[in-house]
Amino acid sequence: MIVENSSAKFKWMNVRAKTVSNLTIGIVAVAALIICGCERGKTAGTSDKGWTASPAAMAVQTPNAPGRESGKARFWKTLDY
Amino acid sequence: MSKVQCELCPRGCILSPGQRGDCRVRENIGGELRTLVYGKPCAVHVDPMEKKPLFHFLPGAPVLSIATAGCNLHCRYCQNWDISQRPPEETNNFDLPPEKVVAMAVENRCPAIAYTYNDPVVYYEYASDTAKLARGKGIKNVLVTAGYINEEPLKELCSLADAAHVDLKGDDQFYREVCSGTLAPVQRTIEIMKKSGVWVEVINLVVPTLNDSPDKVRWLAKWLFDSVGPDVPLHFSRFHPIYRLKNLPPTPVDALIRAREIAREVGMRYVYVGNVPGLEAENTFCPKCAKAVIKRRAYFIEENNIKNGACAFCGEKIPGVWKL
Repeated sequence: MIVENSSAKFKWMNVRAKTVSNLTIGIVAVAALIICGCERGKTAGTSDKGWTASPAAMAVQTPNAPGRESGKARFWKTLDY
Repeated sequence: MSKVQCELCPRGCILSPGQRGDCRVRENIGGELRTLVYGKPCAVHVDPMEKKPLFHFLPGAPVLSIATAGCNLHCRYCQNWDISQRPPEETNNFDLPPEKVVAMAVENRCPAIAYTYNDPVVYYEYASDTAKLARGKGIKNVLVTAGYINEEPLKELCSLADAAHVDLKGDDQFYREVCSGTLAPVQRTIEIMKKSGVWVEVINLVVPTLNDSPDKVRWLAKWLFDSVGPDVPLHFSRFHPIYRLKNLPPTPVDALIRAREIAREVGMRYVYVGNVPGLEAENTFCPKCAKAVIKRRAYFIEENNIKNGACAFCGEKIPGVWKL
Protein backbone atom coordinates (compact mmCIF):
# COMPACT_ATOMS: atom_id res chain seq x y z
CA MET A 1 0.00 0.00 0.00
CA ILE A 2 2.80 2.30 0.91
CA VAL A 3 4.59 1.40 -2.26
CA GLU A 4 1.48 2.08 -4.33
CA ASN A 5 0.97 5.42 -2.61
CA SER A 6 4.59 6.38 -3.16
CA SER A 7 4.31 5.36 -6.77
CA ALA A 8 1.16 7.41 -7.22
CA LYS A 9 2.80 10.35 -5.53
CA PHE A 10 5.88 9.93 -7.72
CA LYS A 11 3.74 9.80 -10.87
CA TRP A 12 1.86 12.90 -9.79
CA MET A 13 5.11 14.73 -9.02
CA ASN A 14 6.48 13.64 -12.35
CA VAL A 15 3.45 15.02 -14.16
CA ARG A 16 3.71 18.21 -12.14
CA ALA A 17 7.42 18.50 -12.94
CA LYS A 18 6.69 18.09 -16.65
CA THR A 19 3.94 20.71 -16.45
CA VAL A 20 6.26 23.13 -14.66
CA SER A 21 9.01 22.40 -17.18
CA ASN A 22 6.68 23.04 -20.14
CA LEU A 23 5.41 26.19 -18.48
CA THR A 24 8.98 27.41 -17.98
CA ILE A 25 9.85 26.77 -21.60
CA GLY A 26 6.68 28.58 -22.65
CA ILE A 27 7.40 31.59 -20.45
CA VAL A 28 11.01 31.80 -21.64
CA ALA A 29 9.90 31.52 -25.28
CA VAL A 30 7.27 34.27 -24.90
CA ALA A 31 9.78 36.49 -23.07
CA ALA A 32 12.35 35.92 -25.82
CA LEU A 33 9.80 36.85 -28.48
CA ILE A 34 8.86 40.02 -26.60
CA ILE A 35 12.51 40.99 -26.06
CA CYS A 36 13.42 40.32 -29.70
CA GLY A 37 10.40 42.29 -30.84
CA CYS A 38 11.34 45.24 -28.65
CA GLU A 39 14.95 45.06 -29.82
CA ARG A 40 13.85 45.14 -33.42
CA GLY A 41 11.48 48.00 -32.76
CA LYS A 42 13.98 50.18 -31.00
CA THR A 43 16.62 49.82 -33.69
CA ALA A 44 14.29 50.28 -36.61
CA GLY A 45 16.07 51.85 -39.51
CA THR A 46 19.62 51.24 -38.33
CA SER A 47 22.03 48.38 -38.06
CA ASP A 48 23.64 49.94 -35.05
CA LYS A 49 22.04 48.18 -32.10
CA GLY A 50 21.05 50.45 -29.26
CA TRP A 51 22.18 49.84 -25.73
CA THR A 52 18.86 50.82 -24.19
CA ALA A 53 15.84 52.27 -25.88
CA SER A 54 14.10 55.31 -24.64
CA PRO A 55 10.39 54.62 -24.18
CA ALA A 56 9.82 58.21 -25.17
CA ALA A 57 11.63 57.56 -28.44
CA MET A 58 9.36 54.65 -29.16
CA ALA A 59 6.30 56.73 -28.41
CA VAL A 60 7.11 59.37 -31.00
CA GLN A 61 7.92 57.02 -33.84
CA THR A 62 5.99 57.85 -36.97
CA PRO A 63 7.16 55.41 -39.64
CA ASN A 64 7.96 57.07 -42.92
CA ALA A 65 7.14 60.58 -41.80
CA PRO A 66 7.03 62.45 -45.10
CA GLY A 67 10.53 63.17 -46.33
CA ARG A 68 9.27 65.97 -48.55
CA GLU A 69 8.59 68.21 -45.57
CA SER A 70 11.64 70.38 -45.40
CA GLY A 71 13.43 73.03 -43.43
CA LYS A 72 15.46 75.91 -44.76
CA ALA A 73 19.09 74.97 -45.31
CA ARG A 74 22.06 77.19 -44.61
CA PHE A 75 25.39 77.56 -46.43
CA TRP A 76 24.35 77.78 -50.05
CA LYS A 77 24.23 80.36 -52.82
CA THR A 78 22.15 81.03 -55.89
CA LEU A 79 23.97 80.63 -59.18
CA ASP A 80 23.10 83.26 -61.78
CA TYR A 81 23.93 82.34 -65.33
CA MET B 1 13.97 79.25 -60.93
CA SER B 2 17.70 79.22 -60.28
CA LYS B 3 20.35 76.66 -59.72
CA VAL B 4 21.90 76.66 -56.28
CA GLN B 5 25.27 75.55 -54.96
CA CYS B 6 25.51 73.93 -51.55
CA GLU B 7 28.48 75.26 -49.59
CA LEU B 8 28.20 72.99 -46.58
CA CYS B 9 30.72 70.36 -47.59
CA PRO B 10 33.68 70.13 -49.98
CA ARG B 11 31.53 68.50 -52.65
CA GLY B 12 29.87 71.83 -53.47
CA CYS B 13 26.93 70.20 -55.26
CA ILE B 14 25.35 72.37 -57.95
CA LEU B 15 21.64 71.64 -58.06
CA SER B 16 18.91 72.49 -60.54
CA PRO B 17 15.37 72.82 -59.15
CA GLY B 18 14.20 69.39 -58.02
CA GLN B 19 17.71 68.00 -57.78
CA ARG B 20 19.15 66.59 -54.59
CA GLY B 21 22.70 66.76 -53.30
CA ASP B 22 25.11 63.87 -53.14
CA CYS B 23 24.08 63.48 -49.49
CA ARG B 24 20.48 62.68 -50.57
CA VAL B 25 19.00 65.00 -47.93
CA ARG B 26 19.42 68.54 -49.32
CA GLU B 27 17.34 69.59 -52.28
CA ASN B 28 16.79 72.60 -54.50
CA ILE B 29 13.09 73.28 -53.98
CA GLY B 30 11.87 76.23 -56.02
CA GLY B 31 15.30 77.81 -56.25
CA GLU B 32 15.99 77.49 -52.54
CA LEU B 33 18.14 74.85 -50.83
CA ARG B 34 16.11 72.93 -48.27
CA THR B 35 17.03 70.20 -45.82
CA LEU B 36 14.72 67.18 -45.86
CA VAL B 37 15.72 65.77 -42.48
CA TYR B 38 15.21 68.68 -40.08
CA GLY B 39 13.58 67.23 -36.95
CA LYS B 40 13.30 63.79 -38.53
CA PRO B 41 15.84 61.41 -37.05
CA CYS B 42 15.60 57.77 -38.05
CA ALA B 43 17.62 56.50 -35.07
CA VAL B 44 17.22 57.56 -31.44
CA HIS B 45 19.04 55.57 -28.78
CA VAL B 46 20.57 55.99 -25.38
CA ASP B 47 24.13 54.67 -25.66
CA PRO B 48 27.05 54.55 -23.26
CA MET B 49 29.71 57.16 -24.10
CA GLU B 50 32.14 54.30 -24.76
CA LYS B 51 30.07 53.26 -27.77
CA LYS B 52 30.80 56.48 -29.68
CA PRO B 53 33.64 55.61 -28.81
CA LEU B 54 34.84 58.42 -26.56
CA PHE B 55 37.17 57.13 -23.85
CA HIS B 56 38.35 60.40 -22.31
CA PHE B 57 35.01 62.20 -22.12
CA LEU B 58 32.53 61.61 -19.27
CA PRO B 59 33.30 57.88 -18.94
CA GLY B 60 30.27 55.69 -18.43
CA ALA B 61 27.78 58.50 -19.06
CA PRO B 62 24.60 57.70 -20.99
CA VAL B 63 24.34 59.77 -24.13
CA LEU B 64 21.20 60.39 -26.17
CA SER B 65 22.22 59.58 -29.72
CA ILE B 66 20.40 60.71 -32.84
CA ALA B 67 20.87 60.26 -36.58
CA THR B 68 19.02 60.94 -39.79
CA ALA B 69 19.19 59.42 -43.25
CA GLY B 70 21.97 60.41 -45.65
CA CYS B 71 25.71 60.98 -45.75
CA ASN B 72 28.13 63.00 -47.85
CA LEU B 73 30.66 60.14 -48.02
CA HIS B 74 29.98 56.72 -49.50
CA CYS B 75 32.35 54.36 -47.73
CA ARG B 76 32.19 50.89 -49.20
CA TYR B 77 32.37 49.39 -45.70
CA CYS B 78 29.86 51.68 -43.96
CA GLN B 79 28.54 49.97 -40.84
CA ASN B 80 25.38 52.09 -40.95
CA TRP B 81 24.83 52.00 -44.70
CA ASP B 82 21.14 51.19 -44.30
CA ILE B 83 20.53 54.73 -43.08
CA SER B 84 23.55 56.63 -44.37
CA GLN B 85 23.21 55.56 -47.98
CA ARG B 86 19.48 56.11 -48.20
CA PRO B 87 17.19 59.10 -48.75
CA PRO B 88 14.79 60.02 -45.94
CA GLU B 89 11.86 58.45 -47.79
CA GLU B 90 13.45 55.04 -47.30
CA THR B 91 14.02 55.18 -43.54
CA ASN B 92 11.56 55.04 -40.65
CA ASN B 93 11.65 58.52 -39.22
CA PHE B 94 10.62 60.03 -35.93
CA ASP B 95 9.02 63.42 -35.62
CA LEU B 96 11.42 64.94 -33.14
CA PRO B 97 12.14 68.68 -33.30
CA PRO B 98 15.16 70.05 -31.40
CA GLU B 99 13.22 70.95 -28.26
CA LYS B 100 11.91 67.39 -28.01
CA VAL B 101 15.41 65.96 -28.37
CA VAL B 102 16.62 68.10 -25.49
CA ALA B 103 13.57 67.21 -23.39
CA MET B 104 14.24 63.54 -24.09
CA ALA B 105 17.85 63.90 -22.94
CA VAL B 106 16.66 65.51 -19.70
CA GLU B 107 13.98 62.86 -19.20
CA ASN B 108 16.50 60.05 -19.70
CA ARG B 109 19.10 61.76 -17.50
CA CYS B 110 21.62 61.99 -20.31
CA PRO B 111 24.31 64.60 -19.65
CA ALA B 112 25.13 64.66 -23.37
CA ILE B 113 23.56 64.42 -26.82
CA ALA B 114 25.51 62.73 -29.62
CA TYR B 115 24.95 63.55 -33.28
CA THR B 116 26.07 60.28 -34.72
CA TYR B 117 25.53 57.06 -36.74
CA ASN B 118 25.36 58.71 -40.16
CA ASP B 119 27.03 62.15 -40.00
CA PRO B 120 25.83 65.38 -38.37
CA VAL B 121 27.28 67.32 -41.32
CA VAL B 122 24.31 66.34 -43.48
CA TYR B 123 21.78 67.35 -40.84
CA TYR B 124 23.74 70.44 -39.92
CA GLU B 125 20.79 72.76 -39.25
CA TYR B 126 18.98 70.21 -37.08
CA ALA B 127 22.14 69.33 -35.12
CA SER B 128 23.14 72.92 -34.63
CA ASP B 129 19.69 74.11 -33.46
CA THR B 130 19.49 71.14 -31.08
CA ALA B 131 23.00 71.81 -29.79
CA LYS B 132 22.13 75.44 -29.03
CA LEU B 133 19.11 74.40 -26.96
CA ALA B 134 21.08 71.62 -25.26
CA ARG B 135 23.83 73.98 -24.23
CA GLY B 136 21.23 76.24 -22.67
CA LYS B 137 20.15 73.33 -20.48
CA GLY B 138 23.73 72.43 -19.51
CA ILE B 139 23.79 69.35 -21.74
CA LYS B 140 27.03 68.59 -23.60
CA ASN B 141 27.14 68.12 -27.37
CA VAL B 142 29.12 65.31 -28.99
CA LEU B 143 29.79 65.11 -32.72
CA VAL B 144 30.60 61.73 -34.24
CA THR B 145 31.67 62.63 -37.73
CA ALA B 146 33.82 61.90 -40.74
CA GLY B 147 34.71 65.59 -40.71
CA TYR B 148 33.96 66.17 -44.38
CA ILE B 149 32.78 69.75 -44.05
CA ASN B 150 33.76 73.24 -45.16
CA GLU B 151 35.60 75.58 -42.86
CA GLU B 152 32.91 78.20 -42.17
CA PRO B 153 30.11 75.84 -41.09
CA LEU B 154 32.64 73.77 -39.15
CA LYS B 155 33.85 76.73 -37.09
CA GLU B 156 30.28 77.60 -36.20
CA LEU B 157 29.54 74.02 -35.19
CA CYS B 158 32.72 73.90 -33.08
CA SER B 159 31.41 76.78 -31.00
CA LEU B 160 28.55 74.49 -29.92
CA ALA B 161 30.42 71.19 -29.58
CA ASP B 162 32.05 69.90 -26.41
CA ALA B 163 33.57 66.74 -27.84
CA ALA B 164 34.07 65.17 -31.24
CA HIS B 165 34.94 61.78 -32.45
CA VAL B 166 36.41 62.10 -35.94
CA ASP B 167 36.99 59.30 -38.39
CA LEU B 168 40.40 59.49 -40.07
CA LYS B 169 39.94 56.72 -42.55
CA GLY B 170 43.27 56.49 -44.33
CA ASP B 171 45.42 58.30 -46.88
CA ASP B 172 44.11 60.32 -49.83
CA GLN B 173 44.08 57.29 -52.12
CA PHE B 174 41.92 55.42 -49.61
CA TYR B 175 39.48 58.32 -49.40
CA ARG B 176 39.19 58.54 -53.18
CA GLU B 177 38.91 54.82 -53.87
CA VAL B 178 36.90 53.58 -50.90
CA CYS B 179 34.95 56.60 -49.61
CA SER B 180 34.35 58.86 -52.65
CA GLY B 181 36.02 61.72 -50.82
CA THR B 182 39.37 63.38 -50.20
CA LEU B 183 41.68 63.52 -47.21
CA ALA B 184 42.61 67.21 -46.89
CA PRO B 185 39.23 68.51 -45.58
CA VAL B 186 39.23 65.84 -42.86
CA GLN B 187 42.72 66.79 -41.72
CA ARG B 188 41.65 70.44 -41.63
CA THR B 189 38.59 69.51 -39.55
CA ILE B 190 40.67 67.68 -36.94
CA GLU B 191 43.07 70.61 -36.65
CA ILE B 192 40.31 73.23 -36.42
CA MET B 193 38.39 71.24 -33.81
CA LYS B 194 41.48 70.83 -31.67
CA LYS B 195 42.34 74.53 -31.93
CA SER B 196 38.73 75.44 -31.05
CA GLY B 197 39.01 73.66 -27.72
CA VAL B 198 36.68 70.79 -28.62
CA TRP B 199 37.74 67.52 -26.97
CA VAL B 200 38.82 65.39 -29.94
CA GLU B 201 39.34 61.64 -30.30
CA VAL B 202 40.20 59.99 -33.61
CA ILE B 203 39.19 56.60 -34.96
CA ASN B 204 40.65 54.56 -37.78
CA LEU B 205 38.79 51.51 -39.01
CA VAL B 206 41.50 49.08 -40.05
CA VAL B 207 40.41 47.37 -43.27
CA PRO B 208 42.46 44.35 -44.36
CA THR B 209 44.54 44.99 -47.51
CA LEU B 210 43.27 48.57 -47.91
CA ASN B 211 44.70 50.64 -45.04
CA ASP B 212 46.37 48.12 -42.72
CA SER B 213 49.95 48.19 -43.93
CA PRO B 214 52.50 49.27 -41.30
CA ASP B 215 53.57 52.18 -43.51
CA LYS B 216 50.04 53.53 -43.78
CA VAL B 217 49.41 53.12 -40.06
CA ARG B 218 52.71 54.85 -39.27
CA TRP B 219 51.88 57.72 -41.61
CA LEU B 220 48.48 58.22 -39.96
CA ALA B 221 49.87 58.17 -36.42
CA LYS B 222 52.74 60.48 -37.40
CA TRP B 223 50.37 62.99 -38.95
CA LEU B 224 48.28 63.03 -35.78
CA PHE B 225 51.35 63.34 -33.57
CA ASP B 226 52.70 66.27 -35.60
CA SER B 227 49.37 68.06 -36.10
CA VAL B 228 47.40 67.68 -32.88
CA GLY B 229 49.89 66.15 -30.49
CA PRO B 230 50.38 62.91 -28.59
CA ASP B 231 47.46 63.32 -26.20
CA VAL B 232 44.65 62.93 -28.73
CA PRO B 233 43.26 59.42 -28.14
CA LEU B 234 43.52 57.22 -31.22
CA HIS B 235 41.23 54.21 -31.68
CA PHE B 236 42.01 51.40 -34.12
CA SER B 237 38.74 49.65 -34.78
CA ARG B 238 38.08 46.19 -36.18
CA PHE B 239 36.42 45.95 -39.58
CA HIS B 240 33.57 43.48 -40.14
CA PRO B 241 32.59 42.52 -43.70
CA ILE B 242 29.51 44.52 -44.61
CA TYR B 243 27.82 46.50 -47.39
CA ARG B 244 30.12 46.54 -50.43
CA LEU B 245 33.19 45.00 -48.82
CA LYS B 246 31.78 41.62 -47.93
CA ASN B 247 34.60 40.01 -49.86
CA LEU B 248 37.17 40.98 -47.22
CA PRO B 249 37.75 39.12 -43.94
CA PRO B 250 37.37 40.76 -40.51
CA THR B 251 40.53 42.52 -39.39
CA PRO B 252 42.84 40.02 -37.68
CA VAL B 253 43.30 40.99 -34.03
CA ASP B 254 47.08 40.81 -34.51
CA ALA B 255 46.88 43.55 -37.14
CA LEU B 256 45.06 45.81 -34.68
CA ILE B 257 47.57 45.14 -31.94
CA ARG B 258 50.40 45.82 -34.38
CA ALA B 259 48.76 49.10 -35.42
CA ARG B 260 48.54 50.12 -31.77
CA GLU B 261 52.21 49.31 -31.22
CA ILE B 262 53.22 51.38 -34.25
CA ALA B 263 51.20 54.38 -33.07
CA ARG B 264 52.75 54.12 -29.61
CA GLU B 265 56.23 53.91 -31.15
CA VAL B 266 55.46 57.13 -33.03
CA GLY B 267 54.66 58.75 -29.69
CA MET B 268 50.86 58.67 -29.37
CA ARG B 269 50.13 58.17 -25.68
CA TYR B 270 46.56 56.90 -25.65
CA VAL B 271 45.97 54.26 -28.31
CA TYR B 272 43.06 51.83 -28.18
CA VAL B 273 41.76 48.81 -30.03
CA GLY B 274 38.01 48.74 -30.59
CA ASN B 275 35.40 46.15 -31.61
CA VAL B 276 37.38 43.39 -29.87
CA PRO B 277 35.99 43.07 -26.33
CA GLY B 278 38.31 41.72 -23.67
CA LEU B 279 41.62 43.08 -24.95
CA GLU B 280 43.95 44.95 -22.64
CA ALA B 281 44.07 47.64 -25.31
CA GLU B 282 40.57 48.77 -24.28
CA ASN B 283 42.05 50.17 -21.05
CA THR B 284 43.56 53.56 -20.41
CA PHE B 285 47.09 53.32 -19.05
CA CYS B 286 48.87 56.07 -17.18
CA PRO B 287 51.82 57.15 -19.37
CA LYS B 288 53.94 57.72 -16.25
CA CYS B 289 53.38 54.70 -13.96
CA ALA B 290 51.86 52.41 -16.66
CA LYS B 291 49.02 51.31 -14.38
CA ALA B 292 45.50 50.92 -15.76
CA VAL B 293 43.63 54.07 -14.77
CA ILE B 294 40.42 53.02 -16.51
CA LYS B 295 39.59 49.36 -17.09
CA ARG B 296 36.91 48.70 -19.70
CA ARG B 297 35.15 45.74 -21.19
CA ALA B 298 33.28 46.48 -24.43
CA TYR B 299 31.13 49.51 -23.61
CA PHE B 300 31.36 49.23 -19.86
CA ILE B 301 33.68 50.65 -17.22
CA GLU B 302 35.03 48.03 -14.83
CA GLU B 303 37.32 50.30 -12.85
CA ASN B 304 37.96 54.04 -12.83
CA ASN B 305 41.12 55.19 -11.08
CA ILE B 306 41.09 58.79 -12.21
CA LYS B 307 40.82 61.29 -9.41
CA ASN B 308 40.53 65.00 -10.15
CA GLY B 309 41.67 64.41 -13.71
CA ALA B 310 44.82 62.58 -12.65
CA CYS B 311 46.09 59.04 -12.15
CA ALA B 312 45.08 57.87 -8.66
CA PHE B 313 48.35 55.89 -8.37
CA CYS B 314 50.98 58.49 -9.27
CA GLY B 315 49.15 61.79 -9.77
CA GLU B 316 50.00 62.16 -13.47
CA LYS B 317 47.42 64.34 -15.24
CA ILE B 318 45.36 62.35 -17.74
CA PRO B 319 43.97 64.56 -20.52
CA GLY B 320 40.22 64.45 -20.98
CA VAL B 321 36.91 65.70 -19.64
CA TRP B 322 36.22 63.49 -16.65
CA LYS B 323 33.41 65.33 -14.91
CA LEU B 324 30.53 67.59 -15.87
